[in-house]
Amino acid sequence: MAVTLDSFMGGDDDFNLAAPQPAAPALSKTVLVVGSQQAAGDGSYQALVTELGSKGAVDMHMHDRITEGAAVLASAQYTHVAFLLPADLITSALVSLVEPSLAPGATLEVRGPAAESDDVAGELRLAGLAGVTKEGSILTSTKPKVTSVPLSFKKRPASSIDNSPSTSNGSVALPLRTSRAAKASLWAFTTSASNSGTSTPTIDESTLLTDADLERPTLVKREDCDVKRTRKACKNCTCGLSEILLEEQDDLVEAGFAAPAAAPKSTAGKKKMSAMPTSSCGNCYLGDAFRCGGCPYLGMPAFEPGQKVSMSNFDDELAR
Amino acid sequence: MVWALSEPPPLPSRSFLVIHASVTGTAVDIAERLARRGRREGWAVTVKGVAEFNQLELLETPLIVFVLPTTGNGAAPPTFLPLWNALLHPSLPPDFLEDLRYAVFALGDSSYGKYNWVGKKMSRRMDSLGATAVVQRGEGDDQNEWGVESTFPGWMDEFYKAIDPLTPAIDGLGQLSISDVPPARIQLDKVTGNTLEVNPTPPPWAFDVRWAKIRDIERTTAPGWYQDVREVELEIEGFAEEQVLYEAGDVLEIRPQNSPEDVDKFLTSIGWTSIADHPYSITARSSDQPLPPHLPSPYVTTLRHLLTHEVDIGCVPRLSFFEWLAAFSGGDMEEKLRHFCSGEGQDDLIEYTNRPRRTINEVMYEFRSAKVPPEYILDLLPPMRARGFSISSSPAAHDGKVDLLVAIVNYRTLMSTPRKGVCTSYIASLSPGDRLPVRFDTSGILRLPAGTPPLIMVGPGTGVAPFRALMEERRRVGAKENLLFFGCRSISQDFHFEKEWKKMVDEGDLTLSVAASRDQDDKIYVQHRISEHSKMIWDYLSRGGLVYLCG
Repeated sequence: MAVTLDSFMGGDDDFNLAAPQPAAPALSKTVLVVGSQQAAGDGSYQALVTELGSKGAVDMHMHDRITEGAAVLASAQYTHVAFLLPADLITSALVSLVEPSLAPGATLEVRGPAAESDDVAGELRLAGLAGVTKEGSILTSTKPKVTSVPLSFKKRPASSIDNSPSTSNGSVALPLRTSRAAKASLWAFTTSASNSGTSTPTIDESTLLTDADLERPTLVKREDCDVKRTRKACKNCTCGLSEILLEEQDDLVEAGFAAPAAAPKSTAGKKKMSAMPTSSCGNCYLGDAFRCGGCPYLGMPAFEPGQKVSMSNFDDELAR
Repeated sequence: MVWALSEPPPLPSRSFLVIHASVTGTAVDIAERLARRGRREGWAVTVKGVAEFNQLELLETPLIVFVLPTTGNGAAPPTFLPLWNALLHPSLPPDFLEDLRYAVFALGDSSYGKYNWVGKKMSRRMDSLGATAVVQRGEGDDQNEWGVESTFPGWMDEFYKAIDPLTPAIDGLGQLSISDVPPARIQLDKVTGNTLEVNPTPPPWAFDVRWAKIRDIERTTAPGWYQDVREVELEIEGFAEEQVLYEAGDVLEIRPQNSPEDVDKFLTSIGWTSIADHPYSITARSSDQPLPPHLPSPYVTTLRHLLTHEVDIGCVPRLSFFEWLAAFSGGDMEEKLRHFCSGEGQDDLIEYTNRPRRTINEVMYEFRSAKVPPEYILDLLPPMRARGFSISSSPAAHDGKVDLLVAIVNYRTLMSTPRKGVCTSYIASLSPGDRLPVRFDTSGILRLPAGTPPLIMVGPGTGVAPFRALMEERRRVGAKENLLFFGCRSISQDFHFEKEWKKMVDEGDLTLSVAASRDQDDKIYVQHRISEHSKMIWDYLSRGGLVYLCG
C-alpha cells in the first residue's frame, strides 16, 4: 500500500455536491488570506491583502471561521494562501481544513513571527506540503502536483448540464424530476467513461460520511463475558463439562423444573492419561466436532470402524 | 444511531437483486444466505458479483441489496470501483435513483480506523441520489464476539420484515418451511455418446486471462530453514515486443487447482467417486441463479474437473457450508451441524473451524454420512478464487517475463497435519515448462510517483517483492534517493534479493537498512531501524518524499 501523506485525499475535486455553499462566484478568487483579530486590529492583515491582490482576487477569512466550519473552502480553489496568525493558532486542524483548498502546485506561506516556529513548519510537512523553507522572513511551502487528467466538458450530454444542481450563475436550481430516458443516457455516459479507465470527475467522497458514521461502533459482547466460553457438553459427557453445566442449572431442579443430576462421575478428567487413551464418552471416533475439550485425539481425523489408532508421532506434534 | 426512514414505495414484483463486492469470500457467502432465505419466502432473488452487474440495471431494478466489504485501508474493493466512481460523478442529479429501494450490509473490522467506510459511503451516496433505504444499514464487525454472525442474522430478519409488506406474497409460489431443502442452483444431465467433449482446460475466469509458462522456480531461503520461499519466473505467451502488460507495483493473479489427492479424498468422503469422471451437461436451473459468468452454458464437464478447477475445498468452511450439509444429514450429525449454524453454536463453530484452520475437505470427511446430491456442488462449495501476488519485476527490465516471490504457506495448528495454502501449494507443485493461466491486476495503488522524489520503502519478509520492481524502475529513470527498510529473521537464511540490493547500494542507488530479528539476543524489527534513520526520513519527507509500505 502506498502512503502519500494525504495528498490524494480530496485534492482535485472540481465539484462538490454535498457542500454546495461555496458555489460559483468564489471560484474566481485564487488567493486566500487567513488572519486573526489581532492582525486585523494592527493593520497588518489589510496590508497583506493589498500586497497579495497583485496575484489575483483575494478571499479573506478569520481563522476561527474556518476551524468552526462557518466558512467552507472549495477544493483545489486557491493558488496562493497566506497565514497571518500567531504560531499557536496554526493548528493541525486549521492546516488540514485549508490544505484541500490548495490547487496542486499552489503555495502556502506563513507570515509574521509564526514563520520562525519549527512547530508550524512541522504542521505544514505533516499535512503533506512539500518544500517547506524560509525565504527571508516568510515560511513557504507548496502542495505537490498530483497527476490528474484535465476535465473535458465537451462530451457531456445536454441532460447532465440541465439537471446539475448548481448552474453557472451560482444559483441553485430547483430539483427537477429528471426523465427516465435522460437519466439512462446520463448514466450510460458516466459508466462508460469510468469503465474505460479514463479519469472522470468525482465528488469528494470524504464529505459523504456523517459524524455518526465516524463514531466507534459498540461491540456486541456476551453478557456473561466472565465465563471463558460456553460449550455444549457431548452426549455421554465424561470430561466434566456436563456436571458444570448441570450445577449452573441447579435452580431449575430446586424449582422443580428439572430432574436432579445423576451422581457426578468426578474421576473423569482427573484420570491420568495412560499410554493409549481409551474413549470414555464413545464419541471420539466421530471426529473433532464430537470430541470433548480435553480429548487426546483432538486434531486427528475421524476414525474408521476397526481402525487401529496410532499416536506414535503425537509427542512430536505437541512438542513443536 | 437513529435514522428516519421514509416509507419505501411498494414493489412491482416479489423480486430483488443482491450485489456483492467480495474480496475474500465473506460477502458472497452473506449474499447467498440472504438470497436463500428470500427464496424460501417466495422471493425471486438474483445474486451477482458487482463485476457481473450491468450498471444500467441500477435504473431498472426496483430493489438492490449491496453487500460491501471494506479492507484495512478503507479502500473500495477493486471490483466495486467502476460502479463507485460512476456513482460519484458530480453531474448526477439528486433524484437520479428515486425509483430505487436499497439496503446495504457493510463488512469490516472496527480495529481499523476506516471501519466499514465503503458500505457507509455507499448508503450515504444512495441517499443523496434519492434512493430509498428499506432498512437501516447493517454492519458486520470482525471485532464482535461472533464476528459477522453477531449482527447479520438480526439484520436479515429486519430486512425481510421491512420488504415483506411491500408486495403481496404470490399464491402457489408458496413459502418453503425451514426444513425444506431449497432447489439446487444447477441441473446435471448425464451426457451419453460422444456428442460433447469434455475440455480438459478450465475456461478462463476473466476476459483478460492469458497463458504463462514457468521458466524457473527456485527456493531462495537457505536449505533447512523453516520457511520455503520461492522465486518464480514466468514467461507470458504471445508477448509482443513493446507491449505493456503491467507496471512496476502491479499484481499477478493465479487461480490454483486442488491437488488430485485432495480431490480424491473429497470424492470418497462425499460418495461421488463412482460418478466422478462421467461427463455431465451443466445448466442453470433458474435465471435468478445463472452459472458462474465465466462458464459457458451448457457447460460439459465432470465432477472431478469441477472439484479440481472451479470450487475451493481447501479453505475453511463458512456457515452456509454447514447449512447445506445439515440439509443432507440425519441424526446426531444433523443435530451437530444445526448447532454450528445456531447463535449459541458460534463459539463451537469458531473453535472447530476457524481456530485450527480446518478445511472443507476435513469437515467433509467427518460428516461423510451426508448424502449430498451432486447437483448441489456449486451450492455447497465456494468458487475457487484467483489469488494475487505482488510482481517483483519491472516490465522494462524483464521483457515479457514476470517474477514473483512466493512464501509457500505451511504451518501448524492443533490439527495433526500441517496447514497448507491452496494456491502456494499449487505453485510449489509446478515445474519449469508447466503452463498456467494468469491475469494482470493493474488496479492496485502501489504506483511510482511521477518524477524523482525521494522514496521510503518498508517491506518486511516477502512484502519486499514489489519494491524490487519499483527499484528497477527507479534506477532506470535515475532516481537515486531511495531508502529501503527490509525485515527478516536472519541475514544468512531469508534475506530476499540480497545480491541485488547490495549491488544497488554499491552503485549509490539505494540506502538499505536490514532488521534481522533473530540474529542477536534482542529482537530488532523494521520499526527500530526506522527510528535510527529519523533524520534522513524527515529530510526526505520535507522534500516531498513518499512512504510505501508493503507486507
